[in-house]
Amino acid sequence: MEDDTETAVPDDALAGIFGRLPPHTLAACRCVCKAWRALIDARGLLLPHALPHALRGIFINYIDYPRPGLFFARPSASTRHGIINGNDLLGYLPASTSSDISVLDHCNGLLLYGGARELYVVNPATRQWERLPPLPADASEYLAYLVFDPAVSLHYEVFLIPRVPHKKSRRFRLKKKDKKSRRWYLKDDTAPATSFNRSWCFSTDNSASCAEVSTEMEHSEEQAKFSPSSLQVMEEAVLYPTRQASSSSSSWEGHFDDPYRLMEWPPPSCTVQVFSSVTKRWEQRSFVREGEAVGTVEDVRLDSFPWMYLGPRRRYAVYWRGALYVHCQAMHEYFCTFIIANYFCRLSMINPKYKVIATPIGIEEGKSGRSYLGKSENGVYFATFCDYYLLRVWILNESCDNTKWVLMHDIDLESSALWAALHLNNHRKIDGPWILDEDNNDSDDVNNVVPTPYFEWDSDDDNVLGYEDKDEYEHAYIYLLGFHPYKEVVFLMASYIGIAYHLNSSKVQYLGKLYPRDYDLSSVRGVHESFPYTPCLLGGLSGIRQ
Amino acid sequence: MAAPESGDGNNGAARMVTLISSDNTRFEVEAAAASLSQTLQLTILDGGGGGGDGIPLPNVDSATLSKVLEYCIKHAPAAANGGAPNATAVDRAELERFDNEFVNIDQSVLYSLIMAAHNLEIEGLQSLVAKKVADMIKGKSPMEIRRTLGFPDPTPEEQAEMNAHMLEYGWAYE
Repeated sequence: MEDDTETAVPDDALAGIFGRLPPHTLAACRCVCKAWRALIDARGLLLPHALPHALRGIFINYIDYPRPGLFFARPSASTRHGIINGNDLLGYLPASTSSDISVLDHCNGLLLYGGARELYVVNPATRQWERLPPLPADASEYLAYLVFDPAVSLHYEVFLIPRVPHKKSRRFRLKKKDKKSRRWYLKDDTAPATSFNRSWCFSTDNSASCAEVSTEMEHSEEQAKFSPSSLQVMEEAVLYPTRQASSSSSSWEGHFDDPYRLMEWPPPSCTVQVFSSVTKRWEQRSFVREGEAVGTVEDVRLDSFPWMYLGPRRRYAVYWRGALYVHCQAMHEYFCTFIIANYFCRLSMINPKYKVIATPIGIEEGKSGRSYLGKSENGVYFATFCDYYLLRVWILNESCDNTKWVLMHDIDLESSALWAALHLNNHRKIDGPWILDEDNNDSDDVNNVVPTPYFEWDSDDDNVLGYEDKDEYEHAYIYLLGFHPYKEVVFLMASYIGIAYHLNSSKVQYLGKLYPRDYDLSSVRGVHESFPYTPCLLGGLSGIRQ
Repeated sequence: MAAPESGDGNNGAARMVTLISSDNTRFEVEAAAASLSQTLQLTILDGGGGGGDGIPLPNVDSATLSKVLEYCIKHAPAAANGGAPNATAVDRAELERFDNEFVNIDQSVLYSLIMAAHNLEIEGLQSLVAKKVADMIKGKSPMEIRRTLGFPDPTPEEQAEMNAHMLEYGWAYE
């Protein structure tokens, strides 16, 4: 077949050939020539192979642990189909200089990875990654979320959602002492968080703070002129804002000079920083609020948690059917959920809106409970624990303009087979089918842990446990690691044991141990964040390669 | 299959139609065999192709058409049985043997068959040739696929592009 005649082979005939090929040959065909590549992409022929529609494991960030994003999964002999082993995971990323690096978000196979000063988008299945341009603002004022749907587009977006403004406390900020001297020093600063002010367009007459914004912006443009030593100082200030301030914050009770206190929340419109892989830059996008305000900033703000409080995290986001749902909390705890609607409409800048939905639990319960927003079989789920063992799960029902949470499960884990999993671990010290994938430098050890390679965890049948009573003095702190993205199963951690709990059948599966080998198991530590991971084998991070 | 009003094929001798290749060779073939082609089926149902008329096929040369008709004649009885639900295992094995033999051909002929099967919409033949090509390139690298199918060697630019796209699906080559 000559090249010119080859191009004459009709698309349908070519597609008939491609449809009979295994994925690796199909991927090879995609490289053969432009016409073939265009056809394979246009018809999405690689999609079924690239999106195996499977849960591969869970990425976990531990509190006070140097290695971020440990992968808890059933190990596999192969890295094909997005199964990851050991250092393959994130080890190929450039060494980070910051200590606050962690996995920040996961969306349909892409990870957002980084810290307050740098962000990477990573596809662990293809080991491709991309470093985003410098953040447009003080990242400590934001949480970053990823939006990606490979079935629709290979492009992704990263949203910086501002935190609800917390009450002023004494925060150490960098202030320029003298414009000419180029010297900076740390100042005990009680000024409002300026980046917040910039990103939330309040209808406020507080002109004083607006003026301050402009000067701050002017300063920030000069940040490039920092000397290395002052950079380091600034990093500490951002990362540990209350290290020195905490002693004085308890006495800081006055409301009189809090400029945000009586502002409407959420604001009538909000401007969000968005990185688009199409334009390759950060841009501002404004969203108009749909529906009524919840109250004032003061109403929704919770001051009971100190800044240092690290986890578990309660601000997850779900991307579902074109909308980004962000669990939005003041400080670390709050009762509202954001919807930034019509993601793909937003791409064309048509009618960008957002609205606030109250979570099904009240503020007080939100303060004490552990809640989790996630995606599972039927959409957006919200789960919370109270009284240690009561797990309640709601699903968001959005039919006919009526958005409400429907309570699906009300489970008392105290009388469940969960205890069998703990006994299994305590008494027999056996390893589960899943392991925590740690640094594999001492691979002998790991090999001992995993005698045989497993290929696929059977989410229905593996290691199902029978019911066992809880011992009288037994106690377990239960943490929700996440929802199974395709089945009504929750992943729990109880006393550093990973467990899968089937919401409909109450079936319990023992997964494996969840403590890193060199982790100090003092009570204040544990899992900070966890992200169930579904691989996406589509290449390209929109065409950018390392 | 319902015979058209003008048809005379249901009594005794099967109805015949005439197909005319691009180089003006006339092929007389049973209507049932020619009707494996979705393209021809309608014309034949309308009573075309009979007598001295013939159906012209300007896209198919005589060598290819004779090959195509060889396939159709072999497969027509099974197709007439509605996908051959009551075909014996022997019959099916025989057809399979025939198919394997049938596509064991020169690449240029295979290419002509792909085009003819597509133009004439002969479903079974389309599958057969697609499977043959798929088997030829299965497990091969992009370069090997190009060579197997007789593409000219890539220019340096094309080569660079191929390498770049190889990276995108790194997982597939492991």
